[in-house]
Amino acid sequence: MINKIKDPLSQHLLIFVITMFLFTILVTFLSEPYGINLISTSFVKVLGKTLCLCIAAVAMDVVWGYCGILSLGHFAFFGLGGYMIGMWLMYERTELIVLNSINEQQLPLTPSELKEAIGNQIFGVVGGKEIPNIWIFADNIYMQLLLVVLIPGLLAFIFGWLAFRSRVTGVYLSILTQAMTLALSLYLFQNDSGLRGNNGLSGLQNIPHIEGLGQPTISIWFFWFSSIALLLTLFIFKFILNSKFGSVITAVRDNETRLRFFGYNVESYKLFIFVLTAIITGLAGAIYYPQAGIINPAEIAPIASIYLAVWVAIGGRGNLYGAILGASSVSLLSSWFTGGNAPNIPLGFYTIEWVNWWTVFLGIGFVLITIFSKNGLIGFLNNIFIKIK
Amino acid sequence: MRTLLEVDNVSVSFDGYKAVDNLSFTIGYNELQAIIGPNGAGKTTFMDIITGQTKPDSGNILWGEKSTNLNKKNETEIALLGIGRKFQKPTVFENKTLIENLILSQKKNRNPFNVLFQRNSEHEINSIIKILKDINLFNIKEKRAGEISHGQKQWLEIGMLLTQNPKLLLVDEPAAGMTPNERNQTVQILKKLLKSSSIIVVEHDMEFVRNLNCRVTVLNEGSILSSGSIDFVSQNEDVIEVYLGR
Repeated sequence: MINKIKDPLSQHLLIFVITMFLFTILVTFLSEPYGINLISTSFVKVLGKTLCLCIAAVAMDVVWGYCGILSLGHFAFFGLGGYMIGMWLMYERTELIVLNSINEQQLPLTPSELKEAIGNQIFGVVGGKEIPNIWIFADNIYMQLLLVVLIPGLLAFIFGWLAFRSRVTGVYLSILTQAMTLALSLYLFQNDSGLRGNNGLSGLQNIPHIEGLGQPTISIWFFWFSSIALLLTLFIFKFILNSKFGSVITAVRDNETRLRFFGYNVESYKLFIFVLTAIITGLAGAIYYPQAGIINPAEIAPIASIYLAVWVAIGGRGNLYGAILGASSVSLLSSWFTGGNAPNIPLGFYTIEWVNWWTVFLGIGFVLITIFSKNGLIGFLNNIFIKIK
Repeated sequence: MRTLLEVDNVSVSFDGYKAVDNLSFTIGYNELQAIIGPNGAGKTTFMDIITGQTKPDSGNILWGEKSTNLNKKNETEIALLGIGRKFQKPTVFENKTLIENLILSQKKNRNPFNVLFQRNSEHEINSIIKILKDINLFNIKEKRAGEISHGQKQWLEIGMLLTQNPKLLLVDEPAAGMTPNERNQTVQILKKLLKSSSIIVVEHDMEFVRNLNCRVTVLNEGSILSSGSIDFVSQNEDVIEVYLGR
């Protein structure tokens, strides 16, 4: 009774898993390569990317909604994950292109000539042809995948260790995290950052070796990846939140001083959650950017991390499904409104163009939701559900 | 009686003001004692000295069978030796159930990686059930701590201290803000706890102290005015003068 370990496969989770499964099957069935060609490849990509954003939102909810750390820098980890996988994608593909063109000329190249040709291709745009040192593992997918985990994890560890150890909390910590993502973004904007400055990494949708399958097929594969990754993320966080560890981190949120009195080292719990959510966010980025096709430093501008917090707040904090609901609804609406699909509203004297007015609309929605539903969209839905019952 | 804690000729002054002046005090195993006194008598400072928040200027605090000197130990070390303190204002985790509160305070490995996979053994569950029964909260164990009354929160806080298996409990104004019925129950709870630990109660309420039926020490201006049974001290002229006479 006391020891009841809340079943990790709780009723809600089971419903969600089934829903996700049916949704994934449905999209596959409606897609071009595996079904009746009712939805476009670009829309499949939008859905896949949305699922990755949901993963980031779930991680954000754990660190903010459950542990009480309002990190406004988690999108930096998302971007770093994208950059790390992007390096391999770009290097490998360029190498294949270079080798191909050589084959046509029947002139074998020495390794250093090959390197120079690749360097020319990738870094010509920023006026260089040397391959920077940070690309040392770019030809090895396993190393680069390891970096997808290590780099965001390491940045989060160093930042978190310094910040938590000095007992920086609340709004001061939020400002620090904003500074972190801004600094990273500004650094990457420089041409000599080694990651192609403001051009970023591009052509990431062309996955080396399986390019021949065509984008429609690859997009469905990535959609499945994203779907499975979201479910795995939920499983991991549900396990943690249902354990005693979960009880400790919500206690950190509610009364950190009292917890310290019981002999808990609050800092190490915060650091654990900060690093874990950073790694998961980084992995989400590594699945997102091959679908987006391009990553540049503007992606990790401070506003991106604020959006992440807005999604979680709109969906409902402290409820993982709320984070998913918030991230998916807002980002899908956003791509609908800004994609030119929403009909403009002519008022005679003025025309409301959604591309410009969408953020105003979002802002009003955010204010209304925070005023009228403390627990966000999910709390609103819950209330309706209870009333129906 | 064997001595659990001995406070020997302890003095503390803050900027020349003698908060505690040559105070000596002993308590034995499984003994209940009460400390009363007007505001500024040094009751809180006395507790601070025992728990290590304040270091004495002179004198010794000796603990247990081996008479370990506590003067040099910090708060955490002293807490680990088995001295638990309940503060005046109850601070429990309001969003958690009573059980979750007790599991959180349990004396167990606090390493995050260990906590991630921590489960409770049969024995630990039983000890939590026993504590819940001792503090009269077993029937509402699944309630959230935010939903229970002020008095029940005080008991929960005592329960959270008990999960640490303290040998000595320092209880600061346990009856503050309680209904008469809750006061009576608090007396019962404290008496039940005597089976496993010693208790020092600091209190204003004379009626409550009378019900505890234990040795009472009256403090005034940092030193002991009188000590003995409640009837004995309440007849002391000095005590009537500084405390009861007002």
